[in-house]
Amino acid sequence: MQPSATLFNKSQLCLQLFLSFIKISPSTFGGGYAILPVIHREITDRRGWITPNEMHEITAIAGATPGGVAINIAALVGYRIAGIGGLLTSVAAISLPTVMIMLVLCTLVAVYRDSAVIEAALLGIQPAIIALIAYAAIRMRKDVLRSRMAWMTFGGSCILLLWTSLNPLVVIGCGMIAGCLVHYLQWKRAVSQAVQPIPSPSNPSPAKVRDVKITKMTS
Amino acid sequence: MLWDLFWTFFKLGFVSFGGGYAMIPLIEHEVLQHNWMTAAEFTDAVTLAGMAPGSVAMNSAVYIGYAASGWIGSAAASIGIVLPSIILMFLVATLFYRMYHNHWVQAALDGMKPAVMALIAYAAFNMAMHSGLWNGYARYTWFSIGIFAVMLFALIRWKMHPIAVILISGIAGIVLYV
Repeated sequence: MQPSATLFNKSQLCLQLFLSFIKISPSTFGGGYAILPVIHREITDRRGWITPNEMHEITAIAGATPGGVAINIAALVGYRIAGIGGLLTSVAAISLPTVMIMLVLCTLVAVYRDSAVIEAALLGIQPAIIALIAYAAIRMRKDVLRSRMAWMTFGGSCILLLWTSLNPLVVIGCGMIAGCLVHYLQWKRAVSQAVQPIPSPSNPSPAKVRDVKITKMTS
Repeated sequence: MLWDLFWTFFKLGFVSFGGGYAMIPLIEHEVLQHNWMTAAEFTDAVTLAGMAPGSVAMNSAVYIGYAASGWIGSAAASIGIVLPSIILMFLVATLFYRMYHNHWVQAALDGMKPAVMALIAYAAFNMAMHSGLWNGYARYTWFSIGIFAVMLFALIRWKMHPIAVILISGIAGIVLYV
């Protein structure tokens, strides 16, 4: 990925990036993927900085790397538009407003902690937040739990989390290993299936074996 | 203390796959180990972090930093959690842009997704347990379960906006408990 700006207009681009992302930032309610349509509208439709195709690629990468999706997208778009300066500007712009709002909220709660009304409102909101978190997991179900192996990984992870006091990080690591293992087994099976239906020595086609192997690996 | 806050969230930032909610169990693990908060206080932190716009992980970092040592603590924690994103995204943009099409990377990410989903489900479960939903006095328990069920239904069936969910349940809390 190459930054597409020259030094000449870089500072102006950074300012535009800053304004765009500072505007998007407070609308990232519920975190993560809720922000996607807003970012797409601003960056590809309104500003025309990035083609929709490239934006989809950026979104996929941002979701696959650690960190908040919104922050990652902002970083990649910023880098694409104006290099490392653009990256830093965009990340600052997308995090500052929410940090400020959160700080104000912290101070307000610290001051009004004893107020019965605030206490009651927070007690009511608590189960709603649990519902929001549960909903995030439920929403993932359609995309994630497609195979038996995915169900097994999910079940295994739940068991690890509930009945052991392992660092939750171990659970993520186990999931990754399981993913690689399944991939390896699928590949192996594809190879053996390709080899098996050639019992006659008249038709030993090594080219076919290699073909299947390659298509399986890239799929 | 400040260094501790920064370093803890810096480490977490590198492994916060799936962003937001999946981070809650990881953050809780660290917070309890460092004795920055009790499990019940952490539940409050998640409630506030979920109410505000932005990523839940980032918001919890701000709140935990604030609770541990004021505004400076907030700054240390939030810089700590955002710095890994900056470093990783810079590396991705410059070096590893093509790496994501590698089939092993894809396989590892595919395998990780159910684990991330389990982490999110566990975060919801854990918060329910620690908020005293089950061992509080009866009236509170039933109201909480009611709000939870109605809001979950509204989210799934009517795709209700999170802001509406938070406002309605806040008002419900005031009506029920004041």
